[in-house]
Amino acid sequence: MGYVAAVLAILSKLQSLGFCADLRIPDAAAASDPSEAFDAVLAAFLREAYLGGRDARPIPAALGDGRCVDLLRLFLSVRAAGGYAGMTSSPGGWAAAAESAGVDATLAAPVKLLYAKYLGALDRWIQRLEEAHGPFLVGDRTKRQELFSGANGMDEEEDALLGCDKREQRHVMLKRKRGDMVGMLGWVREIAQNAGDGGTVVAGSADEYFSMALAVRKVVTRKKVRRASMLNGSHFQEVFPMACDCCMSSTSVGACAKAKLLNGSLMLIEQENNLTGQGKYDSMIQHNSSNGSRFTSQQKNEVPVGPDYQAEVPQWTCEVPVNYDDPETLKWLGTKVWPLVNENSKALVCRDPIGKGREVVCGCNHPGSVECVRFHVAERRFKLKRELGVAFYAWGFDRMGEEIALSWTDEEEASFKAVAQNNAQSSGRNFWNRLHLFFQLKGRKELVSYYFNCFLLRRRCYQNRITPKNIDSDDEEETEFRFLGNRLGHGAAKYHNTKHTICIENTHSMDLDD
Amino acid sequence: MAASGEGASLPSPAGGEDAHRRRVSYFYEPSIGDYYYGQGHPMKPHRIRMAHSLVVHYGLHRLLELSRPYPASDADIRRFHSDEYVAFLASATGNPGMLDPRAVKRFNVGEDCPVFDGLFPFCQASAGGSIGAAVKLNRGDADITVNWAGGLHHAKKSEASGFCYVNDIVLAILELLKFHRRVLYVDIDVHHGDGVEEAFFTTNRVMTVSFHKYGDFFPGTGHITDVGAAEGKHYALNVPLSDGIDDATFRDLFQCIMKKVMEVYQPDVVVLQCGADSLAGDRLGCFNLSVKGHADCLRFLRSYNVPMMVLGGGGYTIRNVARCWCYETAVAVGVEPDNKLPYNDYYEYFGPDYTLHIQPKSVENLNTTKDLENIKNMILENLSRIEHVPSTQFHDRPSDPEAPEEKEEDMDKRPPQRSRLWSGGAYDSDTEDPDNMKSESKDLTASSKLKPKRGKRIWVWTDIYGYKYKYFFLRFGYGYG
Repeated sequence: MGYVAAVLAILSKLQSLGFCADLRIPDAAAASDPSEAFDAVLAAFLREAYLGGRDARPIPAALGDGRCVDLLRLFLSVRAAGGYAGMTSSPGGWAAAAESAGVDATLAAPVKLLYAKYLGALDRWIQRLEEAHGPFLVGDRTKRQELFSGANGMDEEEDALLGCDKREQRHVMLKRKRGDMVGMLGWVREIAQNAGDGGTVVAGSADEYFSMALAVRKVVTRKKVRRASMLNGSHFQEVFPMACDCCMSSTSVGACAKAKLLNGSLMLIEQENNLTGQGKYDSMIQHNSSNGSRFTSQQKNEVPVGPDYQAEVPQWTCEVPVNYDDPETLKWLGTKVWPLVNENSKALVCRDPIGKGREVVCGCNHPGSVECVRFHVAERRFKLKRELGVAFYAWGFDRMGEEIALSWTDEEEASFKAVAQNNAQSSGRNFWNRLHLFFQLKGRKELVSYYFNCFLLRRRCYQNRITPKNIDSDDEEETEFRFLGNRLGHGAAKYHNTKHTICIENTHSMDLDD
Repeated sequence: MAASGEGASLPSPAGGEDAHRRRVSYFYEPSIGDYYYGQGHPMKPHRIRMAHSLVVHYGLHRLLELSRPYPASDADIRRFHSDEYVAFLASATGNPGMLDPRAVKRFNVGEDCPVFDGLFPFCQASAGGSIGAAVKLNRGDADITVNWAGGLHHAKKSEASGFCYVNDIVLAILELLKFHRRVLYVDIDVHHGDGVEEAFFTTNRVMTVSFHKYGDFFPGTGHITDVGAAEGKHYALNVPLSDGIDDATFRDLFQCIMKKVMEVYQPDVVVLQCGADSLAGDRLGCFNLSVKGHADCLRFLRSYNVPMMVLGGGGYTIRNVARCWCYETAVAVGVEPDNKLPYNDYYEYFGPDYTLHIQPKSVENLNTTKDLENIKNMILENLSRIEHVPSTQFHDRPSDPEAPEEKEEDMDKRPPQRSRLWSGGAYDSDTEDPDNMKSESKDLTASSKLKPKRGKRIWVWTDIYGYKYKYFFLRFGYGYG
């Protein structure tokens, strides 16, 4: 009977932490085989605690020789002795635990390992819950306060776990019985809606709600921040001025609290609507205290420590590898491309000084026009090819710049442009999938190369001349999507009369020496 | 040959005589620009190709040794990363339907870190370049090594993060640690260098210093009170900054902190991550640095004449990234390039002004003097704890509070015993004349034989395990503007 009660107590504790919410163990089932019931609870807990993490462990648990271990008895005996942390201090504790779990006392070490693997997480959660609940569970506190302390407990739990399995732990979403939060959320909503008037916050349950809101917010932001996205930013670090002392004491819920909580309230409401999604809270960042939490250690993310995180750094021995000339090492030097080994052509080339930029004056009829630029770029390429020799190709200069368009037909270029225009990012369609459909003979590399070397370059060419205040090399947003003229710039004469400008498209076949 | 493993600074100056110039080795994988993270993704390897095009069109390659990196194998990558993670990366294909959703979640690939076509070869090239750069330094083949495809500082041991999959920096530092007792890692990306910090959080053989935006910003780590753990306590420094930091503020803070770091930690080699998202107008960043201000960090660290690895990193306004890394390559070889960009294959990307340098934006610098003072004090306070660590490891070179003695063109006279070159601050010395550079560089092979024009010889005596070693350096400097 004692075991049955123990299993149910563990389950209810886990449920108060937000785990195993849907798990129901009928009393009869628990009574018939408490160990089996415990295994079911444990399996459900582990699944939730290690979301997406490690592989499920086989239950029932067995030692190397196939003998089954009664996890329930093991857990209860270890808990009775002070939990996993407490066991280490008591010599022979694990031997006793092994006996109580139905295996030989000599197997203390494997049993300890098994406990750590199967029951370690459960042990830590229960331990923390008990520590956190201590003062709160006595007396007739309301359920809501239990939740509040639960949230706190969870928080502390996280801190305690940081050193061992923080990464797994952070997957655990905020799990609460929604109903318990409704009152608080309603209160928060009310404040948010009446943000404009500076009056006082509804008295009564306000302070309770306030502290609960703070606790929930803290938990929620922590969860989110750890695996933030670089794109959306992790807008949680300083979203709220948590360090405001006057607010931290839940007794003084006044105008200050209201102001401080406003951001939070918005977020919590959004949170409710979008518990798992990537929230975008950009508009809510109104943190104006530049000192905020930058100099205090509150609310920061800890760096996890352990063999799963750090690199293995050997001790310095004053001895360096003697055999550092072996092929395994020398391979890292790669393939030397420059200076050229065969330098016979070098003397012939008249080169510009190192670091020299472009000449300000040029002989083109319309300096700065598309044709002018194309001419000079082509000229440079020609010179460069003479100077670099094989390095020109080794570095892929033959595949750089607008010249790669020479392998594209006019029709192909036109369809590329059309596909790009019709499938711009804002349309939500995948431009590359369309491109692949259109150009089945061209590989991914060729398409990407055309995109960066020609397409974007020409778009920039247009922007530079027509919308110079709105340039975009990074498809940041939809900018004007047009080009000057057609292929290779013919027809750009709309803006500059280029009748007399020399335009050389393909220097590969031209001789500028004449 | 195996390089100096004694943990001293440059055992022999560049080219035998002329420490005025550094031997700079640069790694470039020509296919790097064709890797593509996906539609609308801000990380564009194409920027590395753009930077390379500028480097070559400025003629900087004539002062460089350029190599194509050897791709790192999965076994090489496993020197840091976990087996399962590397196996996943090596097998991941560009077809998201083929991926195990559990692995996607476990290894944090997906939105920020998409599994794109050619992902693994991309990682291999990036890591291969950085490990190659480390081997070059270990062998003493170069004084500065550059890999703009490296610097992917967010990648964790078993997890991708922030557009980074394989942490080439950690792999390179592990290689450097074979020959160097202490490695200093400096990170000026706008994002915290969390992956590198985490990897070396518990060792004092690597000190990490990261300058980054903190507060409501990816990745959320890098608090000023995170200083390392266990043996590595006080060997991780974090400089949290706010939006809009400008050249002057950043330079002041950087130099103040790094001067102290160099003095206290005395690294044998420096790894600088030059993430260009700290530039003004970056698509994801929020700092307000000019290309010059960004490159001043490199210039400052270079002036210490400690072997150095220079890596890329973030940078999402690609035209500015190319500008920045081209200019920093020039700083590494000691050239001040013209502001008017030469015509090049990507010329139109740099319009409408077609200049090398960018103007900072007119945005408010939210870093108040008081904040900066606070930061400085906290960092210096942390550094002072290192000084008081009674560890023998800092006694292998005698420390000397005075500036090193400079003996111009006097090579025979034996100076009194001196310590580190930088103890007097080698930075604010005379200006390097770009015209000299140009005339010298006309003959590539002769550049190492040329008599120094402005540099001053400095003799440095140092005591290593009871033996006296005599080094000399040339003191040099730049116009600073």
